[in-house]
Amino acid sequence: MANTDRNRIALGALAIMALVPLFTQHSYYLFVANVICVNAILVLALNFILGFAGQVFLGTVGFFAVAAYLAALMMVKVGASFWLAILVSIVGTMLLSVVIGLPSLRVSGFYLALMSTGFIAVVNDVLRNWSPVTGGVFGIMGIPRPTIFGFRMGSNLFMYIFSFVMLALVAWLAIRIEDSRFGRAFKAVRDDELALEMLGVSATYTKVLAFVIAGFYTGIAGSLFVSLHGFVSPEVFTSAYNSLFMCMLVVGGLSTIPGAITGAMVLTVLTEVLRPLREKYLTVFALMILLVLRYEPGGLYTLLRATISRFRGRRLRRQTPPAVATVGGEASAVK
Amino acid sequence: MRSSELTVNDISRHFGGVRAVDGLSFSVEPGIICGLIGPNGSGKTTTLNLVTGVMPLSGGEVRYGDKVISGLKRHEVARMGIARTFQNLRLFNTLTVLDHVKLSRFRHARTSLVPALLGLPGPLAEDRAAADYAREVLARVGLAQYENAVPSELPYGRRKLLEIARALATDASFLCLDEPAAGMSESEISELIRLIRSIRDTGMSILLIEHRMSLVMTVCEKLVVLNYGKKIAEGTCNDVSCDPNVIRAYLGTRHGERTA
Repeated sequence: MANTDRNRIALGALAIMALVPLFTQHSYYLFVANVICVNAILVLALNFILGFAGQVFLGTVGFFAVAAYLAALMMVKVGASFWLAILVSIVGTMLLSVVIGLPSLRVSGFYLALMSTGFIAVVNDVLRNWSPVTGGVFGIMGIPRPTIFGFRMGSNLFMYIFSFVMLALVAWLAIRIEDSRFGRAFKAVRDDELALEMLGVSATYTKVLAFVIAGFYTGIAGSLFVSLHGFVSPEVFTSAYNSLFMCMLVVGGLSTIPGAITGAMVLTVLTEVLRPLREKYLTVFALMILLVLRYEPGGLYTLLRATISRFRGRRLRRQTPPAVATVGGEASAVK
Repeated sequence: MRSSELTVNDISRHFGGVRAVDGLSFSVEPGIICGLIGPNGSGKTTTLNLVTGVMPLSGGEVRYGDKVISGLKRHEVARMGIARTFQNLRLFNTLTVLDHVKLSRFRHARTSLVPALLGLPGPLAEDRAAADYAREVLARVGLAQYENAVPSELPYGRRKLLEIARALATDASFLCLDEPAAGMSESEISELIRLIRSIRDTGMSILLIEHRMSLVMTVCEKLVVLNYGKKIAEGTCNDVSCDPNVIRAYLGTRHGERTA
């Protein structure tokens, strides 16, 4: 069944992530693994809006920037703990999702795409120019790592364990949401808005709810991001950065939770491998998108599912005793 | 759920200079099957869209029972107990048959997001109840064996039935059917006739748009005939089929005959 496949692939992807510290203790590799966790959480956020609810909102990085700055400001300027900071960041981003979502979701398609790109530009300008609060182009430095009961996630290894647990938690949560009545409503608003409304469910409510859930995820991703890097500046939060996350989602498998995670894994590693190409790495990503759309629009997720069923089919055939196969023919083997 | 009387009072809808619906009034008494017929382009689907709030009225008023439902948002009209199907199928392509019908229970669910996600017993029981109810409705329209299929895997006639199941599961008391028999085989149509009657027998009212006259004449207790956005006749099947205006609208005028 589709759901068991989904859970298996998600579990498999997380298992691979969990095994990373067993193979390498190298600080750089663990840092990259950390980045994968942050990216995967953000791609999960994007998946709620772009994947499940099907809204062409290209401004997720705008929310990500706000979440990151909220967490950074709480920790550096207010001196709050990571836990208070992440709470403020989550609540703040969720509120902002409502404020941005309500007016912008009155439009859809190209108009929404255009509006959301503008949103990133506005956030970026505010961050650059509101120097007394955001530190302008220099950003905010000296952001501490999280602490649990006085234990500080100083090394990349401990930070990774922490980020990984967060990722596993929110991935599980995402699966719960997908299987709930809210998950069904998100997909319905994407497939046919009018038909959903005729069932007595407000399309605007459904879309804004998808935004708010994405805001929750973005708040977590933003807080982990600043804590991991130790500093934050406006220059990363651009539309190009947003395209990177969309790439991850499309390559991994649009509208699938394991796709969001595997996409983040593969493309984050690829970004590191392609670092010598500098900004030309985006060309490679563009090529990947084209290949995915041309040959496997379902992305990595569909490829993995096909592999699983092929594997299972082969194993099944091997298990079938020859005597039965000759008597029952193909039918018994298929069963 | 007990149905109330639907009263359509002098409604109009203009598209630029075109009067798709022009000063139309009729009523659907509780618990009857009312047919809405007329030649192509006479404004039947537009009327249905006006009644269900899909498009705003240019003028007039629609009441359901003692409540004015014109001017409400679409989902608010649906919450008044009015459900509909669509002339061209509007199913959720990625949802299974069972999920379609479970979604009709969405607005009846009480639990909010957080308890649902934590897997507390309340929401779990609610979800099971929704699934049970959905399966009952699917069995009623004869789709029980398809519950895990997605719409594209269903034959056309079954997709039409799925739309009806989805509308029924909302617990509506008033059902609008927009050409439910289009594309159905004769045997499917006789099944449909039984279904429509069984729905009426639960106390629901039905407003039926249909081109197959055999179906209309068999199930409808009342007919409203439209032509060019105006009502040209209203009454029982017998009255309407003998009405000279109706004959003229459907068959045209005899050569040399003067129009009234």
